[in-house]
Amino acid sequence: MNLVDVKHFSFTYPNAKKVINDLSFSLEKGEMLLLCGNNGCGKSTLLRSLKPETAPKGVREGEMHVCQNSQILFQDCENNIIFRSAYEDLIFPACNSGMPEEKIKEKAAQVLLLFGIEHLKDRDTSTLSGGEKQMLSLAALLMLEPDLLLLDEPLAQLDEQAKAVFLEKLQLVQANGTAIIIAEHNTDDLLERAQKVLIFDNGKNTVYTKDMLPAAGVFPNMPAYVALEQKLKLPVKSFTKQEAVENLRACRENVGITPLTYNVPQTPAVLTCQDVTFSYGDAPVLENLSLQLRQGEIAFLTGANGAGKTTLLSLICGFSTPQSGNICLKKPHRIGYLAQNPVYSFLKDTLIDDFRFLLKQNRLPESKIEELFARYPMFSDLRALLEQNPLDLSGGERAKAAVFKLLLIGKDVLVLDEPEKHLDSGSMEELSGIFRDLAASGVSFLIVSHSPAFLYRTAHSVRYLSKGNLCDYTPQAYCTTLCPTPLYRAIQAADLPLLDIDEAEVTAHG
Amino acid sequence: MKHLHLSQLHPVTFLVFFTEILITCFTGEIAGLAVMFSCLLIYALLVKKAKTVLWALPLAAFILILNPIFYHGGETVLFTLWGYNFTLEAVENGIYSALLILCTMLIFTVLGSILGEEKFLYVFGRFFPKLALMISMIFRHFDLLGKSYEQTKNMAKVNGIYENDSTLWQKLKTNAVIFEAFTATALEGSIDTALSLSAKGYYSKKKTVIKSYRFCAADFVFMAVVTAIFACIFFKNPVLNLSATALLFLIPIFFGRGEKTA
Repeated sequence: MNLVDVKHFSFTYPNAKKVINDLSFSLEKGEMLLLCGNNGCGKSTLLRSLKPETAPKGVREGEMHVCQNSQILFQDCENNIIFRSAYEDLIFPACNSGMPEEKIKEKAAQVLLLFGIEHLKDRDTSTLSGGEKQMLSLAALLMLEPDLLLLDEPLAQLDEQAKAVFLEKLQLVQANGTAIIIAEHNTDDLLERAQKVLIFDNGKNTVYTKDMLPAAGVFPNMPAYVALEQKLKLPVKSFTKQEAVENLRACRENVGITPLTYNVPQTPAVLTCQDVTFSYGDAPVLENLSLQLRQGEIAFLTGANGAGKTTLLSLICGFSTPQSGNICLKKPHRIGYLAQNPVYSFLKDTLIDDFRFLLKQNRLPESKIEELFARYPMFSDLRALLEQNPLDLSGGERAKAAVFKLLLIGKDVLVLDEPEKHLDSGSMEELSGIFRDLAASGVSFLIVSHSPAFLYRTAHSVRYLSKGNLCDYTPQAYCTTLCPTPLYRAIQAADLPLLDIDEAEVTAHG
Repeated sequence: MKHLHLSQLHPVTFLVFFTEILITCFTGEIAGLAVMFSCLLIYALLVKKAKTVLWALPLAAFILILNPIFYHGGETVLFTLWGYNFTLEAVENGIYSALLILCTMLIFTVLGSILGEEKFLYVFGRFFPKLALMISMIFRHFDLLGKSYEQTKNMAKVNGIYENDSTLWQKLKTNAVIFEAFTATALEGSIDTALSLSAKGYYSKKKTVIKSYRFCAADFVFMAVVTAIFACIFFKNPVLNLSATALLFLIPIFFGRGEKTA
């Protein structure tokens, strides 16, 4: 019997924006449906519509039958957390389901162990990092052994190790018969596990089974290894990593490869942290940490969830003071900052008023808005949203608008906390290009990110934060050894150097 | 002897104390309110980061200024401007309203965080789920307000939102924009939390209650003492009244030492 049956379903928001159009699909036990689409295409709307308690307001047409025992993980991890005590939050859905006390305790112990998050059990949820919150929320949902799991970008804030654990557990629940509908921009690890793919593209929404997928052609957020195969005009049939390795190996002799090069600019340092120590109460976070950011450098700050990356950024921006050590910003350089949750950057009721207010307060002309739209086509879809309230935008649209705001004021040291989070792969590529251009003109970047794909395209250098201190890596070493994604694994398995994806297309034609 | 923390009390004991504090606040005179505010502020600064409670000050200042501008009643005229009387009574009323709002906010922010959603839902969740949900959302909202204020203000400061403000009026206007923004964000957050509660089956009838709190001797003693002090507040003697108010509001400082709240 089908767990989900959707027939000719359409959804229109009260502002007349139709986001889902005549959608039909079904899902059986243990099947996974992967939702692929650009920012604001309706992925979250569909997921929320499938859970009656969270259905958005608007006009629904068509039929939708969904099994009773379904659980949803929201995109914004803040919204998944209710209580201050992590353990209370973990057992809350199970308590509401009337599960016997003994079973709740047993299950809680099991999932904590399974997810490797026993250390979070006694923590206050307000002190957890975004990734830790995400893991805790998924563990809470799995305590109920749901028939259907609805996941909205669950990997966005997870570090590589947590991602691997998360995917492993997902495979386990899928094998136990749970159907999964998952919206995710990073599909590298998911496409092979999915039986069906729903592609939102140009106002259409079509469901493909895996064998039909080649007919879809190029689609938003396709895995990076498939995108590379398509750029090289290689035959893609099964969309598997194995096929990608074979294809790349076969073309190795015929295609000219431009290895990716990374050059940290040899310019003076604009930001220096020296022997910085910081702790929350008795818990040390940073210990004698030193960091130097050069003019025009794009440095990525990576590390496990809860390692202290956001804390370091807040010290650099002056929101907190280190217990010892110095942080020095060379004059006349000035910092621009983007918080992990971009919602805090919006101050006005409409996007256009927000942009204007920011420019006015920074004594800059309003013409900058048009100037930036003309220079960076990536932001062109914001034009249609200028009269909307920023709080009503999708996660990706909000992230784009927040970055746009930062570019408007033109600061020369940009400190960004996961700017690529919730961005579709196309926008991520474009953002990478924008950052590279700005870096060439002297703007320095310190970026916290969990996306190796974004790092690979953008970074000059990588600082890995672990146990309160930093280790330096080249992006090449980081992507091949410390955190190899399926794309790098495929490239390595095909005995190719870490190639420049954009250049590879050109040389393929040559 | 082991130091007793407020968070160790039975939820019902704490709720009684919380209610008494709230009633005292709303029945207090201006002097009493000043005492309450001082005690609550000391307590707040002891258990919370200063930044998370100071967000209420601009609002209080706003009310303080607004009252004499719009209310012109009273007998003691301080000065006349554009034909309007600015009276001592209006200023006093402004101070009273500002203190009342500050005290209420501090009570919900600092004491509410000790009571916590889980204890509140434990007491009322089974019998009055909707009321319990609403009140726990208020607790959460006050918590989110502090966080939202800190984040919004930090981002605004770094990204040059205050750079164009040279006069006091411009600064006030910018702060009003920040206030509106962080309130909206926190409200939106509360709505999302309510949605999450609903999605997690909060309205289900067959709940399992795991956490069991024991009503022990310390609870009896604590409740008896605070209720006796609370009763003294209603005596007509102003000295006794003020002393009892001070004593009641000093309790959190004494018992709350070392209390960890986020």
